[in-house]
Amino acid sequence: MTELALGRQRELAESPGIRHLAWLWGGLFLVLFPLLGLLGVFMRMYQAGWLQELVPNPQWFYASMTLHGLGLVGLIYAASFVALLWAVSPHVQFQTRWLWLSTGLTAVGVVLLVVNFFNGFAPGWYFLYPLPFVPSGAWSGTATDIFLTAVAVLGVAWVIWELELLRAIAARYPLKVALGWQYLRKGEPSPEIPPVVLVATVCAIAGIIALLAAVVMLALMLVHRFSGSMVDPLLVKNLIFFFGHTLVNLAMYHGIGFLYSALPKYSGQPWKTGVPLVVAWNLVLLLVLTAYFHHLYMDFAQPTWLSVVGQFASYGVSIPAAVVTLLGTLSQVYRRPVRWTLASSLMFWGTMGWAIGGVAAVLDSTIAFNFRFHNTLWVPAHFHTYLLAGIVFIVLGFVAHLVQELSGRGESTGMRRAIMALLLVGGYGFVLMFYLSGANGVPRRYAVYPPDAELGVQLARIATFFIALVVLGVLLYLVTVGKQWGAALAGAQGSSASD
Amino acid sequence: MAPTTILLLWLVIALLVAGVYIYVWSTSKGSAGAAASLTRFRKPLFIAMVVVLGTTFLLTVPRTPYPKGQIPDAVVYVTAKQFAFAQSLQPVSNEEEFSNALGYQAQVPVRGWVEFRVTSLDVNHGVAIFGPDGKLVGQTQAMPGYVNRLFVRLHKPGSYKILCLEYCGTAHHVMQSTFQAVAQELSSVSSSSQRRMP
Repeated sequence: MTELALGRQRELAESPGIRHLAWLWGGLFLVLFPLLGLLGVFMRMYQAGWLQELVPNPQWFYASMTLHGLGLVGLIYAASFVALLWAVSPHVQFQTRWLWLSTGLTAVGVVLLVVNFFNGFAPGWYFLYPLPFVPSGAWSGTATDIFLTAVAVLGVAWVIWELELLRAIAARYPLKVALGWQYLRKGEPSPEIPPVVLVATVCAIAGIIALLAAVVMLALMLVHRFSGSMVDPLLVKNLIFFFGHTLVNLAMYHGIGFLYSALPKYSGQPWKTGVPLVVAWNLVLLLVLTAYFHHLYMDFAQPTWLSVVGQFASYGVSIPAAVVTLLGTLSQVYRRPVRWTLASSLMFWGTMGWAIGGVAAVLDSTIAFNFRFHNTLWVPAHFHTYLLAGIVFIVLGFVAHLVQELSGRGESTGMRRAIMALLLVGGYGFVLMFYLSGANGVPRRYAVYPPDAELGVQLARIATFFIALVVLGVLLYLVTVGKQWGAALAGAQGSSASD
Repeated sequence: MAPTTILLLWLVIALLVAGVYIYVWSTSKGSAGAAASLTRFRKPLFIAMVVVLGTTFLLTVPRTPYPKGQIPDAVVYVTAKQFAFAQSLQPVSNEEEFSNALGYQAQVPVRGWVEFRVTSLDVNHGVAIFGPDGKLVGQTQAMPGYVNRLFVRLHKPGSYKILCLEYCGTAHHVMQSTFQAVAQELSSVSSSSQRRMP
């Protein structure tokens, strides 16, 4: 407990602005994740055939699908980014006004997206051009305009905080030092850098490049909006996936940066930067920007060599993840007296979700396999594995870590085991139904399955049982962390009163 | 490799990963055991991954589904538009031609190379071919302004379905079409298809 308290004092005293930001985003995540998740529950129940009479218009399935996807990708990206900021904040000095500006703009973007849900806006989370402009009567041109505004606002918001992250790092470390290149020379590296600084630098550079692609994509869409003529859909599709794929991967890497910083506090084993870590993350920077081509394998008009590059990069990016991060996580725990709490448990098991989902992603990134997997339920299978059972676990671990450090309160072993068992059994059971569906060719993004795809309906029904376990696990988590949060607030009020 | 075989492969690796995680987690309980680092496995794991992934890469890249100069035994034009597919033996370039082609159902030869020339008149769609047994045979995207050439060999005679596998709007799930694969002499089917041009 003393060690915990000392750790809290050091970090929080150094960066009160980041602390407040972390609390805000932690709270937002605990509110928005269950709400957006419920849209997913609605979708699976709709596919199970239980809600089609109650909600006969499938547009609400697709509008839910759009908000569920866009909302959760954005929320996970943002919350994991704040976890990374929090982890890197002891090492660099932020100008927090920029981070607050980004938060405010993000709130505006989110409000616009929610408004658009009620407009029936339903082009899917990656809004594949030109679908937003060709709604077939399902939504209005105004809804598309609101959406484009939301994308612009969110783009500006996230460019600001990626730039602020890079500026803060560059103010302390020259860029090549932050990327760890001094470790590649002979002799003792000077200066040494914490792993989280290296990860944050890679994320910031990749994030800025991805967001620049989003700016070009948005500009092309605005050309369509104001000229009425179609721009090259293959070019826009490349830009959308360059941006979207990179953003989703960065969300995971944000969480890994936090993990490098936080897990050692529970294992007592420092996570140090060395040559393998530096080589791995510099490779990640290169490979993560070229792996997105696997989203366009089925666009045969795309030059074949780009697809081959996509398969090479998708395979390649899995090697540093396994050899450095996953093996490193296991090393942190193997035969160590780990202090198992809700936070450390979620972090540890979250990396397993990344590994298992990653294996499915690598299989799907094989062009010859993708021929039969593309846009089947195999796709949501793999990304729900590394999002729900991966990065979401880590972000939930981040919030639990925050409140447990501040409140000094832990949860009972029984409660921790119950939460983890529900989340793991429910989560993997839920995604297993996606995998079984995908391997049997059940299409993704179908509100209603055709009569000869009855397997999709049956597996959706089984999936809802496992979803119920996840929901119960999340509820127990909310109650547990909510109590700790309350204790932390009471402690803070008590200490300010005594001051 | 069949999708169900790939599923099995994934399941085996996933269980292996889960087994390693559970074992490592089980060693962390209580007081510290003999200090041991797993980083000694870094090099073997790296080599194993490079070998396995490199071999898979070299074996699978030649099996990509892209056109490789095949001579088609039959050619079918598939044009997508919210929320229907038109099959035809001539390119469709406008809504009138699309409407005229809607009633046509292609017949293609079993075991011969069938080339589907796929495009769209509005948004992105997917053209996925499902066999008489309901299994996914193969697919490509239908993108406005582009023609994707999909070559497949169909091994079973019967009714094949085309389903849209790219989300294209709020009636995406109803978008489908049917064609027939028939066991005839290749030359005879090709020429009979030519005569049935709409």
